Order: sequence, then C-alpha cells, then structure tokens
Amino acid sequence: MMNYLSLNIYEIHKALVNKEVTPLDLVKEALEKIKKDTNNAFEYVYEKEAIEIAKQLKEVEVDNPLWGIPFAIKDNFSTKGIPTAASSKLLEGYLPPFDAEVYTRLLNKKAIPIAKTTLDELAMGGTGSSGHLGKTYNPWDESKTRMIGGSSCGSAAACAAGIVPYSIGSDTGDSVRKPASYSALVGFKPTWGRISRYGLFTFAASLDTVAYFTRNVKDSVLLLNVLAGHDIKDTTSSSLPIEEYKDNKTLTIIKEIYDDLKDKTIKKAFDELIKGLKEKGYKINTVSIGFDLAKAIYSCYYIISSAEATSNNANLDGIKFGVNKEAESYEEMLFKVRTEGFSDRIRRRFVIGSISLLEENQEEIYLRALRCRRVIVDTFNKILESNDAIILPASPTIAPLFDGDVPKKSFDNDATVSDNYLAFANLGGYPSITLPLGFENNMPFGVNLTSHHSTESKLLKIAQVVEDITGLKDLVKE
Amino acid sequence: MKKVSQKTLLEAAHNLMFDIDDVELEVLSEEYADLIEAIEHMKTIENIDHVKPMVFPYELVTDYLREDVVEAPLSQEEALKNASKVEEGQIVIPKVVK
Repeated sequence: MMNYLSLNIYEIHKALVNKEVTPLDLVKEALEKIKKDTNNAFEYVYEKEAIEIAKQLKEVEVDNPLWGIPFAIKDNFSTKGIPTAASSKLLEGYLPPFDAEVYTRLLNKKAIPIAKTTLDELAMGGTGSSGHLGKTYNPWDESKTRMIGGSSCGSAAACAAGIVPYSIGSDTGDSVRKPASYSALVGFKPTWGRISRYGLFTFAASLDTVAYFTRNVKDSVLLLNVLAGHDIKDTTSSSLPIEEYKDNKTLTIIKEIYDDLKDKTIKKAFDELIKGLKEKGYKINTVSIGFDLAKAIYSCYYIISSAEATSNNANLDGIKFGVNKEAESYEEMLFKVRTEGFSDRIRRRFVIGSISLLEENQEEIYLRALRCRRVIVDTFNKILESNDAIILPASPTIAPLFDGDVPKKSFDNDATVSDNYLAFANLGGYPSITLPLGFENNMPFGVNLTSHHSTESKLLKIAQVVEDITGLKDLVKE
Repeated sequence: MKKVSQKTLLEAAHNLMFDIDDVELEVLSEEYADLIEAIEHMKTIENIDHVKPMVFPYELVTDYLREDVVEAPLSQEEALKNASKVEEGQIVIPKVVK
C-alpha cells in the first residue's frame, strides 16, 4: 500500500507537484487506511464524495500546499448535507443545511474532506469515550487499553495513525492540546476569535476555539494562514492583527504546576528541554501564582463552561432537528428526547450548569466563577507581559488507562493542578500549542507553550525552536 | 455555600426537561459536593470579591456593519428538512391545547 499520508503536508505537496502521486491516489490510500483502522475514530467517511472531488482536481496548484490533500474534521462542525451528530444520540441523522467557515476555507483551497471524526458527546469531555460510538483508542497503544484523550479524540487518532496529515478539532478546555500530548502530535489552539466559529456547534461560547492537529510546527503555521481571519458571520471573530514577532527569549514556568509533577521521566525530559532552551539563549523564569489560584483554574473553567453549555444546548429538543420521540404531549416528548438523547455525564453537567445559574445561586457560584476568571486572567496577563510564553509539560502522565484512571465523576475537586491547568488559555483566550516532548513505555507525552492573546507569530517561532531541540516531529503510529 | 438536596438536583433536571435515575443522582450529588468545596476554595482567593465578573477573555470590539446586500436565507424546504414531522410547511408536535 502507498504511504504518502504518513508524510507531512509539505512533503505530500512536493510529491503531488512532482506527479509521484495524484489526489485520487491519496484519497484511495486514506479510504483503505480508514477501512483497516481499529481506533474507532470516524463518524462518517466521504467514500464517494472524496473520490468525486479528487477526480475533478487535475492541475496541481504549486503555491497551494493543501491542494488535493485529504483532511479530517471533528463531527461538531456543520458540513452541508453530511451527517453531523457531535457524537450525541440526540443528533443522529442531522444533516446541516450549511458549511462551517473553516470547512469552506479548506474546500476553497481544494483540500479534500475524507472523514468526520468522533468526539466526546457535544465536545464535553476529556476521555474520548463518552460519545455515541464509545471509546476511541490511542494508536500508540497496541493493547487498546489507553485513551487518546478528548474531546477531539477522532481527529487526533486519524492524524496520529497516518490517515491524514492534519485534522480539525475544537478546544474549549484542552480538547486538542491534551490529546496532542497523548499522541505525539502538534495541537494548536490559536487566540480565541482568531478563527471563525461559524458552523461550530457551540459548547461554551466564551471559551470555544477552533483548533487543529498537525505533525509538525511548520504545517501548523500553514494552517493558521489559511484558517485565520475575520469572518462577518461570526461576531466574536477577531479582526486584531497577529502582533509582529518580538522574541525577548524569556519563558516562564509556573511553579505550582511544575511542582505538582510526579512522573520522573516527564520531569526529566522537560528539564532537559529547559536546558536546551537555555543553551539557545533563552532566559527561563519561574513564577508562582499560588496553589489556590492554580487549583481554581479547573473549577472556574468547569462552572463557566457548564453554565454556558446548559444554555446553549437548550435548543436540542428533537423538534426542529434531531431524533424525535412519539409522545402524548409536548412536554412528554421533550422529556423523552432529552432523557434518551443525552448521556448521563451530559445530563449531570447540565444540572450543575443550571443550578449555578439559578437566581438564588448566581452570585455564589456563577458570578464567583466569573470573578475568579478575572483574577486568573489578570494574573496570567501580567506574567505574559514580561515573558514571551509560559512553558510546562502538557500533561503530568502518558495517556491514562480507560479502566482505572478514568474518574466516574466528571468534576472532582481533588483533580491535580498539573492535569487540569491548560484551561487557563481558554479563560484568557491565549494561543496555546502542545508539541511532542518524549516517550515513556513507548507512549508519548508533550510540552505546552502559551503566549499572550494575538501573539501567534511569537508563539509559533518559539514552538519551532522547541521542535528543533527535541527533534520530535512527523511522528506517526500505524 | 449552602448544600443542595437531591430533591433540588432532581427538580433542576426536570426543569431541564430530562430525567435522571437514582444512580446518576448519587454521582451528581458527589459532583455537586465537590463543586461546593471548590466554591469555598475560590472564596479564599485574594481580591476575588473586589473584581468585576469577566465574561469574555479579552475586550473584543464588534462595531462593524455588514454590507446592505440582500442575501438568500435558508429556503423553507432546507429549514424543515431535519424536522421529523412536517405538514404543509409546519412542524408537527403533539397538541398543546386539547
């Protein structure tokens, strides 16, 4: 079998330009790999559509590296006429009547959609196991006992398994950056508002960000240039320019999160990277934010996202779209649709969100979380004003086991700070990128860099330096 | 922070138009207890009661107007395509006034 899709975007593009391969060959390779795939990553495969698109593509566009290359997109992006369920039973069979802006931009570049990928239900989860198709497996773990993480589990698995060189996801808390850590990928969440969210199913509007997986930093830069930019259809779409690159070569570690690390292999790899950065002339600071604030990141995120999700998903009633149920009354119908349509995790999360919004609790819970968000963001803004970026291990462990490490509760106040801090980048809207850092027992783990909002240029340059030091790029597990 | 009874949690679920069973209710109670702990913890954060709530991550000015161009919205057919029961251009639900 041909194996071009294990290459990175620029390498595949070169092969297309050199006429070693055609878009149709690439589509057939992807379809064949999807058929053999055992990771449970896909919701819908564009078997006929992708072949039709590929057949139309004749003259390679030498200045367009995405031309003729298959990509996968998370199943919470609207794709006209293509089933889109966001891994919820309630939405099975839904056919969006329009395309998401990111999807349109990729189609305009003559990129070829090959699959919609599975996710945690409605993108609310981090295990890649709560969607209507069940568990998505980590390609790096042949025993099929470890997760790849979520919620963008299918997009991560498709890219990590060499089926597509890039895939689109969404990141509300860490839903691209955490799976990237578990699967040796580059997972990039740009500034909130940088990429249009038109057509992305809303989970928590003040946190949701279009994000994506690639296998190296250069490909990540390429995709940002294609996907970023103001969109009149999304009123939260940013028209702020990407700030000019000024690298003061100053990074910082957050003390409380670093100190919480227990895994010696991860700590050692991180320390070696820091040493490498120092050798490249970087000054590495260590800043303390206080354990209380570090711990509050997760709960603040959880309360805000649950409250927003409860409200945003009130439209899921099975009437205008979604799976309907026979009933004697309107109320009974809604009850049946929403009881049978949502999984228990989602229902519990909606209750938490609803309770926090009740008039008698709003000040105590929801508004306190919003105040907490202000303190967290003010603290990180100050840190990022005097440092180019924050650098930390993206996860304190390799991918957790499905049975054992996965908590039954979806909110746990005993959760560790090093496993739940990445949401600070969503609270502050910061660009944030995870890169491969090392391996433990043949399972990957990553490093994360986060900079001030609208400074993607700086962040990606530093990410390139990190990638050069680790030498870990273009990693695939087939 | 006051504790919330299982009855209140169940009422909230019903107001959200779904049911939860006893097992779920137990887990939900545990989650809610954790949430209360987290809220108590938040209270100890310096200055938290003296800052304004933050809804969006940064100040984003939205002051543009789209061009005044007539655009075709979704057709009736497209808008109703995903509804399970449609009659004469209307979505059918069980009778409300019987």
